[in-house]
Amino acid sequence: MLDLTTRIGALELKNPIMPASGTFSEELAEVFDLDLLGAHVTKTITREKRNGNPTPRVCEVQGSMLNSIGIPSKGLEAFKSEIIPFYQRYNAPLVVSISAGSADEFARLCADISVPGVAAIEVNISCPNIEEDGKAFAMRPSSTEMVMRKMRAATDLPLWAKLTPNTGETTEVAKAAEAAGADALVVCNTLLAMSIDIKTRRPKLGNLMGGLSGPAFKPIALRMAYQCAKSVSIPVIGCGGISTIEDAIEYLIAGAAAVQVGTATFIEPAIMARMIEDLKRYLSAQGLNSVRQLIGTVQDGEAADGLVFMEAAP
Amino acid sequence: MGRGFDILPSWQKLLLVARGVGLATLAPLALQARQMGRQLTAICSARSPDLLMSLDYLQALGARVITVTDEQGTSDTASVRALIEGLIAEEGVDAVYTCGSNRLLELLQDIGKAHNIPGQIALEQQMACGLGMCQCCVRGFRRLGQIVHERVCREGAGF
Repeated sequence: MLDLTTRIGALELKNPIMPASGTFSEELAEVFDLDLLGAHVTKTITREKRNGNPTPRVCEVQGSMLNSIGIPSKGLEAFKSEIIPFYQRYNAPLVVSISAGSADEFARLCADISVPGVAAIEVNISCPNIEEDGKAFAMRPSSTEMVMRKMRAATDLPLWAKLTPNTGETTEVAKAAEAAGADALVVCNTLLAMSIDIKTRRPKLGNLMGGLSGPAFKPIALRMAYQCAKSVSIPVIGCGGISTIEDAIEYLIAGAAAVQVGTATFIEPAIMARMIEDLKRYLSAQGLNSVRQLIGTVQDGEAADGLVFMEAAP
Repeated sequence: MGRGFDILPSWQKLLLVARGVGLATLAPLALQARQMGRQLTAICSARSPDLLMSLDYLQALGARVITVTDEQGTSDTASVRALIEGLIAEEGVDAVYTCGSNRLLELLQDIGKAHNIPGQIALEQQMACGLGMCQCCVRGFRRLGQIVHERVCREGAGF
């Protein structure tokens, strides 16, 4: 009997495969049984209604894509009355992703979304905000710790901090989130990027810049997941460019306790269901009987010094 | 997935105004109109006569086809407006359908407002997932006095 379960703090997931925020919604239930998943992660919501960024909101680049969706949101009330009841028909725990313009509003939203049916809150502190001069909270350890502390005081639900690759202080930010009471880290959000149409000389995204995601981004996110797993004792959830079970296994070996699949679902909507089957096949073929036998088993030996060296550069 | 055009019971005289590849998008509407026994007039616009698509198809389905092109100098909005105003005055139009041109869309919105004629449009937009998850393919619509974004893949592509 294969044991696919994994533990994220207080939550036990029946397998380590879950969607990445923004690439998952109720419509996917038309494609496969959503209860196959280890957890459900919603598109980020804000308290107020938001339309999002100007179009085009997406463009293809080699091996990846850019998006600048801009967090369109139906608002908190619509989310509570329409979206939460939809997911209550499933056993998989519901993780609600939230965003806000200030640390205090993040905390208030945490409190207001701590309702029955919500198993954990993923805090999208990797989006731009107004208090820190257009920067995301998770770009710096100090702002990460400040916003996480306020949220920690506002809810008893597990808090998953979604980190950003747009920082040179990966391990410091991870430790700050842990110190402030985060239950898990989601590593990571998209990498700020750009693409220009050389015929029109216009940026390909309506918002000029956007987030890089997809296979070309995977080595960067994997490196960050590895660094974070090495530097904190709370679980890390790997996210970034996963499109095959081999990608997911790489994250697990790097130290992630679970993974999120995003961009790949746009290409193959039922890919997460297939990955769960592929995971079983992989474990069997390797003579393993549990996912936990993979987690954090990277054979890095002496190379660990490199991690310190890169992060210590001025 | 998504939704197509409506042909309401009271919409007997239909006017289709399309340009370029938008002509292909509206061709199935002609078939539906024929099956429902509606009267269909199609104003087909393109840069040049050899780029006009679906004309034979539309004619075979009993539509009256009027062509306008940039090359012949007949496709500017003033000319098309005169054409449509003429149709409205002579025989009446119950509903208009369009695809393929923002200029024609604006023209039809204007004419529709003046004569109280409803219309529908098929839109396109870049998509990532095509299922409704990614929120990429939105377009802005005036709904109850405010601009709301709706997904072309889910709430459209017929609006």
